[in-house]
Amino acid sequence: MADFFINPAFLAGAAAAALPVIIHLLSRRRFKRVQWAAMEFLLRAHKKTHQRLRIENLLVLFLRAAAVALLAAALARPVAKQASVIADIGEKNRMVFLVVDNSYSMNLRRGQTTPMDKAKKAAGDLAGSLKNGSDSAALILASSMTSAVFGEPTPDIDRVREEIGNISASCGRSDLRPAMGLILEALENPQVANAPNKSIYILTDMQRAAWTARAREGEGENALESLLGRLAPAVDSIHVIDVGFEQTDNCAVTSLETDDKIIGIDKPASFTVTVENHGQARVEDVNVELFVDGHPKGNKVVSVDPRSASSVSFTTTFREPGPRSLAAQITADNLPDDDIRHLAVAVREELNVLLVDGEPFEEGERGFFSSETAYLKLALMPSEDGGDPSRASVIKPETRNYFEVNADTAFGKYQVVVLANEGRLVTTDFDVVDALEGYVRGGGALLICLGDRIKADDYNARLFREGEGLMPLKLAEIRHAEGRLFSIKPSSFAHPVMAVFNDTELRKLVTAPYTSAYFRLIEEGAQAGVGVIARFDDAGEPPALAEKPLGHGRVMVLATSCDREWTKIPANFVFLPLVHEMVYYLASEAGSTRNIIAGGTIQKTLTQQEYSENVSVVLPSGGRPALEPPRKIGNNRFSVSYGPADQAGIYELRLEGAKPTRDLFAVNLDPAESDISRVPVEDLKSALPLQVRSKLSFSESVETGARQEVAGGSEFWRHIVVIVIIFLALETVLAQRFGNYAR
Amino acid sequence: MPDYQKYLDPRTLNKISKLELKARLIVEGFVSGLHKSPYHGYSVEFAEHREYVPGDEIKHIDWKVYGRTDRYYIKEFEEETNLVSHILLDVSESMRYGSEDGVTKHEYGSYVAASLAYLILKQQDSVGLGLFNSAVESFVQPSSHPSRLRHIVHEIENSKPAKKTDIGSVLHDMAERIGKRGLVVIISDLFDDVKKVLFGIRHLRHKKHEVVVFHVLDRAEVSFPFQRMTMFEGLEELPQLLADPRALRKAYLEEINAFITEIRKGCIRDNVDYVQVTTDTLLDVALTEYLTTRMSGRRKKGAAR
Repeated sequence: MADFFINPAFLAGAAAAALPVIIHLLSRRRFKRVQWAAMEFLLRAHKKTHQRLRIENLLVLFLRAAAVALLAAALARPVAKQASVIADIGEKNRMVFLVVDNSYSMNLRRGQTTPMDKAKKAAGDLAGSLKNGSDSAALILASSMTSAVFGEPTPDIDRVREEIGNISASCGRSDLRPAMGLILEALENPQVANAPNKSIYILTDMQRAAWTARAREGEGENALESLLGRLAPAVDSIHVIDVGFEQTDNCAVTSLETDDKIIGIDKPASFTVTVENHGQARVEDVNVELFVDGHPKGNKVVSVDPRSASSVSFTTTFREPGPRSLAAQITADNLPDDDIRHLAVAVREELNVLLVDGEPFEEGERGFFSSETAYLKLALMPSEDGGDPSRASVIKPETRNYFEVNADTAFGKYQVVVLANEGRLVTTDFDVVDALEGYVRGGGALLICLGDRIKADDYNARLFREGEGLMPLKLAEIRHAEGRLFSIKPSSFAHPVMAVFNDTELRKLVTAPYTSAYFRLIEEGAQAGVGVIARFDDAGEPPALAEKPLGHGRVMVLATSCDREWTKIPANFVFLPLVHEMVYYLASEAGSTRNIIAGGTIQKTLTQQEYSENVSVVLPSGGRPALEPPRKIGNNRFSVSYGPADQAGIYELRLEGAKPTRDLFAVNLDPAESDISRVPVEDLKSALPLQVRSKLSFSESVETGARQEVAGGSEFWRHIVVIVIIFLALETVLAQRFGNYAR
Repeated sequence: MPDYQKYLDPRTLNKISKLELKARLIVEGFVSGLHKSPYHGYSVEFAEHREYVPGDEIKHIDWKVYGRTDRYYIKEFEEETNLVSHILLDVSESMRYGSEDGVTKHEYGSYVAASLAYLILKQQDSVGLGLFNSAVESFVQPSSHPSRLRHIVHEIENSKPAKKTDIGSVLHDMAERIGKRGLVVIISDLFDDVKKVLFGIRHLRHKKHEVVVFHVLDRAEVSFPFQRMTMFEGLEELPQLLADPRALRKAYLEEINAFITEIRKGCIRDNVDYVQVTTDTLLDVALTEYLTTRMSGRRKKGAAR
């Protein structure tokens, strides 16, 4: 019985079928007495009609009792088994959209089973209840790495069943939005949209992240609520089948980062590992082990309070330049996927900076410091005292006067190029501008320092180009201080360039009034992505330091000079850390896709020297697919990419050119997915709009869920309700006709 | 107010008395009344001459006419006679029925009988009364004396509806018992075998009586307005029946209408005045209606003759 009905309790209501009979009998007991004279006629009428009346009464009584009993049966929601005859009157030609959550949290292990195992079983059962040929099913794996196995419903159920067996959790985080988007796309096909009995089955571990904060991040129509709101009217039902576990304790390595922006050889580099405990109990003595290039480099023990994080630091020194891989791992728990984290770093021998001097040193004029780049070079120059090599800077500055630079200059060999008060070359030699733009777009970094040699109109015409060019912002007039000097104020000390000054004393120093003149930069009409790192305390707070990503590279502009002409900063203590931070930031950021989240694309920029047609990537799993030959992206620069990187781990890019090179990339899981806490169904329901709620049903477990939608096959309560309505209508008509109702 | 006057609603009687009750057929009589006598020849008022035919009495020949014309003419006279009326009121058990808020058929019939008796007496005609159920229960000889009204009313008042009806045999009995031609008014629900009833009426007609049937029925009997489950308890020894009236209504109405139609047709065929009255009809309306049609009927017949 329980197999046949979803709500067998309602069957008790069938007892109410006795009501019409009882009412009939009661009405026979309650009567009026009348002494009647014309009895003979009445008796004759009775004799003539009583046989027919009996039949009529029985018919009406049967209709009433049957209507009540059938209503109870409909509420019990009967399910027609495949083999049974009733299945034929059940809902035919079902269209099912199977959405299986394949975020990595589905790998959470409890005993011998995981939510993914449960989901596959439920999906298999559901597919098993469908008829090959007449029913159709779509199979979509939902996460940040959504894939449509069958994006449009296919009648080939056998293949769907086969594919269900092949599902495994991805490295993505929970995100139902792309999957819902795919269904909406499929529904645009009129054949799909007009099909009857469409239902969506979402098999998920009910992780909070899938339903709340992140799901609402999407603006407007891309938010989950809005997607469901658009889906609900288009389908008959949406079933959410909870395959998760109640217990959601989990420890994860959520970050492995280097504290140094640039890692040089023979210099101690420090790495911080963050271990987060998402459980309700304190986790004691977690062993954190660091690996470098696969070899253990040490371990530390850490205890983590519930719902908080602890960090440990490791220090290591690299003796050879080149790409290196690191990994931090903790003892495996029930969700092993997030117990390891990878990091790829490039150990540099040197960091080349080209300083293009727009106002070169002229003998006998003002001495060495008359050169525009003098202070910069001094600040970037490695120590030459021959002391501890670990204290030496990896930065190798190289100064060239503007007339020594042309379009053939190999910008590609420099990590950072600085244009210091350069107002002649770039405004006359268009090829240089093109070369520089190609360099930046290909992953280079450019710092533009302004000054008195720059003409605003020329710069705006050649370099700003209404936001399309190198300059992040448009130049206006030069502002001169009157009476007092301007000071700069960082927009946020969280920016990597400014973070180093985030200290009471240093804040005072960096914000002291030094500047006597600057170019006003116009923010109106700036392109998206342009950021202001610091501002002057002048009227309207114009930008002092601004940046803009361009192609794979980055451009930064300093609104004042980099020598003492317009500002006293270069003579101040803060100049050294500021210049270093700017260069490190520009160098480290430039074109980096070295460490990405799973699902992203690995991309590397190549110079002419590195170019090779023969490119391949070694995946973490060991596979080694060949890649498309690098694509030209600018002057002497090429780009090679692989994506989406759907496995977590270290990827090795190999270029088998004249000079074989390799590079390493790390792909990690989204740490947000490690928090496997669940969202209560009640919270979820109340958050969703009514039109969605009316179609949405939640099942607590696979068993009830399966019975509800899967095992039995088709439901046919709608047919019963139609029969009830027909019976009631018939009863009304017949009773009226038979004179059972007052006229 | 004397008892009998309750049957004589002054308002009703006032309305009716404006009309004169005239029998359609001319009955014989010697008390001067308004009714034409069927017998010609012996009275005071000359009517017409007609040619002598063999068999006429010689004494009626008008010799003066013979003297002038040399032909035998009979002198005919017309005379108003008094009407002998018998009112037959059904007092069987079925007459006991009355709807909840109305009078019983017996009460209604009593009013009709008393009112007619009053009117007849007022016209100097004589009236008698017969109360019957399965047989004639009591009989008051006709008389034109005004005290007869009190006598009649007293009899009606003392009657109680009981026993079964047997109208057929009662009518045969009355046909034999009433010697002189006259008016016979039957007031009854006629709940009996239709054939027997009609046969009895025909017997009265055969004896040359003018017959008027007041068919008294209750409104409930012709409309059957019951809604709830009802136990119908039969009067006149008939069994009871528990039934849903809504279901039976159609069949019952067919039955009763067939009965009424058969009676009415039988009456028309035998030239009997048939008046169907329901107990919720105002008495004056019922009687006025009857008397008006009767008058016009007489006029028509007179014109035809």
